[in-house]
Amino acid sequence: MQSLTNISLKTIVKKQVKWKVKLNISALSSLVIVQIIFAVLTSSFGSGSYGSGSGNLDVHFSIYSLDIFLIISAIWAFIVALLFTAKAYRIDDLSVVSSRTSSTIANILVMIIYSFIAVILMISTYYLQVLGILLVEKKSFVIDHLFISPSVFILCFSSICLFGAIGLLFGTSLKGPVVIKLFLSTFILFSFIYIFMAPNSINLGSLIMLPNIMISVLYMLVATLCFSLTIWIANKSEVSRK
Amino acid sequence: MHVHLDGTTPIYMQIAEWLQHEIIADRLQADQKVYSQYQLAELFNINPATAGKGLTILLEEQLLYKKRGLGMFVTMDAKERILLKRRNEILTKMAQEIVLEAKRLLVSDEELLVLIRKTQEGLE
Amino acid sequence: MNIIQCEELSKSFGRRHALQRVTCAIDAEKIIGIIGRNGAGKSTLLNIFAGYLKPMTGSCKVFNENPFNNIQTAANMIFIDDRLSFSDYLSLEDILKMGADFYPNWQNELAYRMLDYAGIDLTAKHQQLSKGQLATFNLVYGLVSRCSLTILDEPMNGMDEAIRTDFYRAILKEYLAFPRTFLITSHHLQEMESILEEILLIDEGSVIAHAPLDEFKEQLISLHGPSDELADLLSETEVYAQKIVAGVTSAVVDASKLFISEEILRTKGIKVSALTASEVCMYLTNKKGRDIDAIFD
Repeated sequence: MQSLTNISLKTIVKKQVKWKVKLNISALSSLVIVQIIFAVLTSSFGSGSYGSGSGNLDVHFSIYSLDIFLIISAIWAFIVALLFTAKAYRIDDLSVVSSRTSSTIANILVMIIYSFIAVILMISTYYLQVLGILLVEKKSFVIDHLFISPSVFILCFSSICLFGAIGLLFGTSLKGPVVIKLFLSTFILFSFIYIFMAPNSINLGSLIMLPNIMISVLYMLVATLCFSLTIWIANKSEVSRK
Repeated sequence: MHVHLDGTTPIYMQIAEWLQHEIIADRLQADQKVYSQYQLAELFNINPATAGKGLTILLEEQLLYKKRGLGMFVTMDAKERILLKRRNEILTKMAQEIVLEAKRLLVSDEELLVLIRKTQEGLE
Repeated sequence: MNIIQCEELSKSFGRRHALQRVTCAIDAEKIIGIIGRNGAGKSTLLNIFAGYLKPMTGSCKVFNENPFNNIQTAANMIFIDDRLSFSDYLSLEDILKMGADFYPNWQNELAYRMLDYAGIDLTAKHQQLSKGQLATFNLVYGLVSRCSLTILDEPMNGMDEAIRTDFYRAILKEYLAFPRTFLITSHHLQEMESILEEILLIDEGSVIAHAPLDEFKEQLISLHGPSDELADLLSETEVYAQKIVAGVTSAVVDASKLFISEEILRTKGIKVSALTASEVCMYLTNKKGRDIDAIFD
């Protein structure tokens, strides 16, 4: 009898990551486009503005910060993650050597890689926006933080990762065994409702006072939890091309 | 030769008969190596296991012998034995059919023998 | 070690029982035809072999392991059907490169030659191919991967007759060059019969026959002759089909339950003929007593 091939999960995951990163590049280009659009849209007023005047003096301040770009990137990560779990992509995985486990781990790694790239893109767009305004509208800037500190970078990265992780978990649980589908969908639904309906009960104030690093760690922990759950559910899921 | 798939004769039997034909026609000579099941498979576009069954039939009738690791070869007296067998089997079967048919057409035994004699004379 | 071993395999989808207590084994590298009507359970069984679906009860072992979510099984198995899909951004040439990256026994040269023979442009995208070209490409992809277990679910769907003949031969030649287990389903058994070693017949979720092709064909025979002569005979054996026209009966019966020799039958004016594998499948899966004539009577 022919000798069977022995293959390691690591090797296959590496190959899948390589191909998935290449083939889904359009997701990153869509992010760039959306960010640029927002950059242009908010170039006049920033993410917030205020003004005051007294006598003959009118002062107008516009605030330009990373916030809007972070929010866009986070939402983008969630959507991309959902897409990765869509049927069309799942059945593409079946055309090569893969298992549910390898495909899920590969998707997670790709999300992390894309999140990292997204942070870089985000910061670049932000700088470009500022540069653009300086050159085009010749306004004066009061610079609070010129260089993005590593802790902010990590915070952005972990936020985007978190949203990606939630997206993957949500998408995977929708295709998983029925019980899990029901349980998780209900759980996530209630969480969203709770967060939006009762923002006061969550003491976000204290959270905001925490140093960025701690928030980042918290986000990464939750993301890791989501990733683990995603793998667990995927391992139990059946798949079919029909 | 093309393999007939219409269901009348199993493919492995057709292979066996073809091989016997080749032996009678001296295209496969005594102590000559015969085609392997893989060669037959490729030649007739059939599964090698089927071809192998055909070879096995000849092996069991000792028209072929096996040399370990080298393949199958035609036995010394294969040709004579095939001719003898055919004579017996085929002609017997044909004789049966003619006799039955004659009965069905209400031809008497004597008339039948006359017909056969005439056919033989016609071919001479 | 059996290549595939199933014990009491059952699978249902809601209330539909796709497979009911299937027990079967595939013991060596062979070309096996998986035959059955639509909805018989073929695809479900193959999906379980591929590790895509989980059995509800019973067990399935492929290469001695549970195939579900098993990367080792996946490395030695390929499942080709008309829903094989690839990213929109890959040309056929890129798809072949990807295949070569994943499958250790991949034969890229051979793929190029086969696709060139079929006249398929490698710069095209998978989504741009016609139905027949798609089937051809998918089959080539499956063949050149040289996986120990190669499952082809209706691989010739959409191909024209000439190219079908060519590719049945291609399957045979690849099997001779690199033996592996081929499981091929088709609704055109007569086309692929000659390259098969065994048949596995599935009907209504059960395996009703699994045998070498010749044994399978010899199960049933056709009898044709005067009704009065045949009447007694038919009562003593299992009859699968019967038609009486003007005092002549045609019947399909179980050969193993017939204890009269062919010579004696011939003397009674009864003709005995063999059936094609297709016909045997049809009679074995026909619901007894139901045939199309009944609708018109």
